[in-house]
Amino acid sequence: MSHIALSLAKAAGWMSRALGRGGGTTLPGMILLRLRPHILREMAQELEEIIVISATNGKTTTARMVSHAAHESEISFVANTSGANLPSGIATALLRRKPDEKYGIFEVDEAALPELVPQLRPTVLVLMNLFRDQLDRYGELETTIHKWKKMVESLPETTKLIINADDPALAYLGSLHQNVQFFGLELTDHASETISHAADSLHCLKCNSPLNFQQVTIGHLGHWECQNCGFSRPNPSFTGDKINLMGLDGSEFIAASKTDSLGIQIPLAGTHNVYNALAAYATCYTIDISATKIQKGLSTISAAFGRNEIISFDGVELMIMLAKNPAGANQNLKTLLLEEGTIHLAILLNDRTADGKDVSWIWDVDYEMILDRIASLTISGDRAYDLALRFYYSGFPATSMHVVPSIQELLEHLKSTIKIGGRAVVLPTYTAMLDLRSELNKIGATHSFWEEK
Amino acid sequence: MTEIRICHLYPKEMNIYGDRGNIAVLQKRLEWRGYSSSITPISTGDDFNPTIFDLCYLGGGQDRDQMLVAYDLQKKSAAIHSAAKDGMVFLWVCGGIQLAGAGYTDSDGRRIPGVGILDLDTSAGKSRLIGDLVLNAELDGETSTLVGYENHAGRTFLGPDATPLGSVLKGHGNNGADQTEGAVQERVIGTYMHGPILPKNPWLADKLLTWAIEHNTGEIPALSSLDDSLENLAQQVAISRAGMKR
Ligand SMILES: [Zn+2]
Repeated sequence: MSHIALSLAKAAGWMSRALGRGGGTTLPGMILLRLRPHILREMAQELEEIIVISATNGKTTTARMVSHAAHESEISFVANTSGANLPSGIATALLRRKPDEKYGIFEVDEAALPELVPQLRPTVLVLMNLFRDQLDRYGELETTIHKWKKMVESLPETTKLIINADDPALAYLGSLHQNVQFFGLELTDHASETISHAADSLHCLKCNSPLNFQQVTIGHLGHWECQNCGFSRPNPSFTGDKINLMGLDGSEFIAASKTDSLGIQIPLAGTHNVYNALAAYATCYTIDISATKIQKGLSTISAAFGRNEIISFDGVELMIMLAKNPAGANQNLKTLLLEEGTIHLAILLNDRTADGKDVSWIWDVDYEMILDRIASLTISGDRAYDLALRFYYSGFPATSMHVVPSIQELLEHLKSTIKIGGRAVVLPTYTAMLDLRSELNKIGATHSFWEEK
Repeated sequence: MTEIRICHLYPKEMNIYGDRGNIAVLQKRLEWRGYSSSITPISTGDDFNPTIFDLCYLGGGQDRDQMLVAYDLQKKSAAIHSAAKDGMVFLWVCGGIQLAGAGYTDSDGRRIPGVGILDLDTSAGKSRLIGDLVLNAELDGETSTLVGYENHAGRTFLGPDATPLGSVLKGHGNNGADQTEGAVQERVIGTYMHGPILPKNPWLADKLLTWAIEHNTGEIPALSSLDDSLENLAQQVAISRAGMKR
C-alpha cells in the first residue's frame, strides 16, 4: 500500500510537470495526503532538525536565506523552495527528499501553521509578523492570533521558538513559551513615530489598552509599550542595528547575538528585507551555522520568485515586487522611494482564490506617497478598474493612466512606453505574478518557477 | 462655498474593509462639483455633537474592536438619535449596520448593544457569509444596481420601521434567507456591502451627497453629472466576477 501510494504520487508530479501545469509542486503531495493522511508526521520523523518559518510577509525570502546559509554550511536539507507552503506542498517536498537530507527548512502558510506544527513537530519555529491579509480567506487577524496562541500553548518545551519582538501580538505569544528567543530592530532612522493608516495589533493582548510606540518600522512593528499594564517589547537576543538602505540595490546592517556581532550585506532592498535577514540570522545562529557561512549565505542570495526579481524582455527591465496585502504593498512603495527620480509603475490586481476575492484592501495601501514620482502608470489584471478608481479618487488624472486588463496588452504597452535599457517596476498580486511570469516565459524572457532551487 | 461636514466615527478601530475609500469618494465628488468638505474623526472618549455634521460614516472592524466601540457608542446614543431625527445622513457599513440596530447577540450568547437608529436586530450565525454581492436597490423611488463584497457572521432581520436598501440578486445579504440587503430609515442607511461600496456605486454616493447638501443648505441641490466611465466599468467587472451576465 505505502509503495503504491508513493509511486502514484511521484508519477503525478512527473505528469503534471510534463503537462506544464503548476510544475508538480503540490499535486503529488495532495494525492499522497489523500491516500495516507498521517504521512507528514511519519516523513518528518526521519529528519533531525526541522525549521518552520511563518509570517504574513517575508516567509519565502527568509526560508530562502536560511536555506542558502545551510547550503554554504554543507548541510543537506529538504525545503519547499517554490513557495508551495500548504500541507500538499510540504508533503511533495518530503516525498522528494533524498535519504541523506537530514534537515527540513519549510516556509508555512499562516493559516495552515496550527494544523501543520503538531504534524511536523519543528525543532525550531520562527514567527515573524502578522498583518491583515485576505480577510475573505484568512478571516480577521484576531482569529489567526487566537489559533497561533493555542498552537504555541501546546508546543513541547523542546521546540525553540524564535519570535519578532517588534510585533506586539507575537511577542505576547512568545511570553507563553519557556524556550523562546526574540529578535528585533534597534532604533533606526528608517522608522517613524506614527502608526500608518490601517495598522493592526494596536491594543495590548494582556489588558486591551492602547499601545504606545516609540518607533514604528513597518505597519504595527516597532518599539511598543502598553499604556496601562506596562507589558512592553521584550529585550531581543538577536538585534539588527546601524541599518543602511542602499536604494533598490540592497541593504546592510549589524546583526548581533548576546555574544557576537556580524556585518550583514544583502542584495535585497528595504527594511522588510532587513527583518527577513535578521530572522534568518537568528535561525542560523540557533542551528549552529557559523558566522562566516551566515554572512556568505545571505550576501549571495538572489531574489525569491517575484520578490525584487529582475527580468529582462526586449531590452526593457521589469523589477517584480509581489504586493498582496496593505503592509507588504506599503513597504514596496517605501522601498521605491529610496531611489531618486521618477518611476514607470505597473500594478496588477487579480481577485482569484490565492489573491483573496475581496479587493477592498487596495484602499488601505498608501499609494499617495508615490503619486508625484510616477513617470507612467499602467494598470492591469482582472480587477484593473478597481485599481484605476483607487488612483482616480486619490487625485491621479484618469487621462494619465493606462488601464489594460490583459497581460499581453500590458507588456505591449510597457514596451512602447519605456525606452530600451529602461526599467519598469511591477507590483502584482500572487496570481497576477504567475500570469505575468507565464506570459514572459512564452516569449522566452524567464524560466519556469519550478526549475528554481 | 458651501462646506459639507462629514464625521468619520472610529476611523482607527473600524477600518478593515478599505473604509477610507468611501470617505475619499464623498470628498472628491463634492470637490468636483465645487463644494468643500471637512472630515472630522471621532474616536472613543470623544464627544459627538449632533448639530455640526451633515453626514456620519461608520465602517467595519474586528470583533474585539467592534465591542470596544459598541460601549462607547452607548454614551453617544442620545446625540446620535437627535442627529438622525434632524435629518443628518448616516452610512454605517458592515459592523456599522449591526451597531445601528438594537444589538448583536454573539456566538456565546453575549449581547452587544446597538444604538437603535435602524429598526433591526442581529445575531451571529454558524458560518460567515462571504462573497460578491449584487443588489437591486431603491431610494427616493429610483432604482439602481449596486455591487460590493460581504464578509459577516451576523444574521440581520429588519423590523417594520426599516426598509431594505435592496433585494439580493447575487450573494447572501442581511441574513442569507430573505433576499434583503441593508436597511434604510429616513436618511440612515446601513449595509453589509463593502468593496468599499461607494467607488463602484456612484449613484449611491450622489444620493448621500444630495441628502447631505440638503441637510446643510435646506435646499435640494441639482448635482452636476460627472464622467463615471471608470466607475461603470468597475461595476460591470464586479457583476461579471460575481458570476452574473448583464
Ligand atoms: Zn496591557
